Amino acid sequence: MKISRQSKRAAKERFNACMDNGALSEARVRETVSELLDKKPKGYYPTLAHLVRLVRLETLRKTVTVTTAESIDDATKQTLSERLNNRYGAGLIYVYQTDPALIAGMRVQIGSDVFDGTVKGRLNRLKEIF
Amino acid sequence: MSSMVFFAATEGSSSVVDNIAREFGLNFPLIIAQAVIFLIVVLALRKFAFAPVLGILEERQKTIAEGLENAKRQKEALESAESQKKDILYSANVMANKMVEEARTASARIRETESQKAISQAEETLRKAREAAEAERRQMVDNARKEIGGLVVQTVSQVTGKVLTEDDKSRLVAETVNHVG
Repeated sequence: MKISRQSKRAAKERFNACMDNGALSEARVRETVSELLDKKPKGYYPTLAHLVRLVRLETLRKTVTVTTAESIDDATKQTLSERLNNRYGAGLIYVYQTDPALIAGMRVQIGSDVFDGTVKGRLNRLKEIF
Repeated sequence: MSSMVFFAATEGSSSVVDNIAREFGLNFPLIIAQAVIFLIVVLALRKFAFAPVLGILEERQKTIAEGLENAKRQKEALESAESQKKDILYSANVMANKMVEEARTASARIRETESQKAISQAEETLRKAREAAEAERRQMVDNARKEIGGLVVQTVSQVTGKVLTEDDKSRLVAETVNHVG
């Protein structure tokens, strides 16, 4: 679907209105989407589609995927979230996963940034060197 | 005196002549007539016999002279032909020697060129063979390294989980947390 520049601009304005202290507010997003669907202004569908895309990108950008070989304790989670908030700002969404294949250590992915401190990752890097 | 002597001698001599003529039976008018006739015959022969014969002889002489001239010319032509033949043979010999020399030079040049080409090809083949051997050796070393690396990693993967203590695992997690911050 081709989205006009006007629709993109309108979607961007509504997306910016959904931000709260640099973080995306889920409640505002729901409110904005409901408003669009209720009022159905002219060209609302492309605007809505672009808004969904922006929300998805922002969600991906703010989603932190933490993968460990074994589950980690709350204190470690707290420390990690504090450090990540300092670096990437508030509004991060955390997803914790366990993968025994990692052997030990932790892998953190935020958007396109990856911090791989797992034994499996280190062994893979060692294998690449070979 | 002298005339008397002459007449006396004349008279004496005519009588002698008359005696001789009578003795030998000479008849002067007949002799004169014979002389005239002889003269006529000589003139006739000269006109009708000698002239054609002389003409024929002259013609023959001319023919002979022409023949001699022709023979001389032919001899000169033969000599010229011989000379030309010698010149041509000499030129042909010179040309043949030159061609042989050129052929030798060209042959030597071609031999040299072909030798250089063969040497270059041999060197190129040798270089390619060395490069192929080197590439194969590198490939073998890489394969061996990868295989050994894979085995090492696999072994370490299998062993590490059992070897690492809880403290080690906590330390690894803490390292990542510190690295993030």
